[in-house]
Amino acid sequence: MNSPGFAAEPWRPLDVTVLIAGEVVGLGLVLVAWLQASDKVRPAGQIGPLNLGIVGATVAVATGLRFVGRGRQAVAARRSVVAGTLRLRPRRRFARPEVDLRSPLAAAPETVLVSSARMTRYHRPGCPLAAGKPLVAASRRSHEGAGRQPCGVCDP
Amino acid sequence: MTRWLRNQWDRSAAVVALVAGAVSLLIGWIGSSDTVYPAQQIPFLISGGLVGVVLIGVGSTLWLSADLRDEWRKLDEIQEILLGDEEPAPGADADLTGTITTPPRTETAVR
Repeated sequence: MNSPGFAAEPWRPLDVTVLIAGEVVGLGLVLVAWLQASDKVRPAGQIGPLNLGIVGATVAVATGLRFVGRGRQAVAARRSVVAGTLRLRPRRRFARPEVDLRSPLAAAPETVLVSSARMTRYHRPGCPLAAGKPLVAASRRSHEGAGRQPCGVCDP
Repeated sequence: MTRWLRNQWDRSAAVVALVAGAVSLLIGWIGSSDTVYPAQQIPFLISGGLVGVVLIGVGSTLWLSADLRDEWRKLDEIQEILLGDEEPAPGADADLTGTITTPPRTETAVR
């Protein structure tokens, strides 16, 4: 289930290729360094291979960091798009949500709002952002007293 | 279990890489502590220490990328809901266009 205009994953194929290549090259350099260092009997002759190994480990770790960074960038950009979509929508109240049988709280009256101790926003019981979380029902005043903001998706 | 491993292949691979990295570091430490000669310690430093660091890096990358994939899927779901909300189905009551339904979640998204 992909939204139009977005790939199935946050990474482009090139990012995955660079990751695999970087890890293979990095690990390969470490293995070459190990084989070279094992051949020498004096520590002075092993410093070169040791440096090569450090370079290999750095390449591998840096490639992984780059991959995660690219993913975070893509997810952040997508979050902005979703937030922009929310801002552009005309404000209107949601009709009664369809009952979600997975959550007993979903059948609660409209005035009941849910959240949990670790959440920073409160939701309507049927909100998809609240699905699957350990929820506690409380009044709006109680949620706001705990410093929570209303959810931007279900607009309680 | 097999289904979980298939769905969570990235987290499974991450755990394997992290455990292998920890074992590699341990082997490197045991090997280098067995000898007093630097010439015998350096190969252990490279094979145990550096390989362990690389494996732990790979494991961390896999785990973090799994989290990002989950977030991506969640954003997919939210966007689907929003787009569906903006374009009501033909014949739907105009007052009910805000009705929200939760799509079935994939097992990978439920954590």
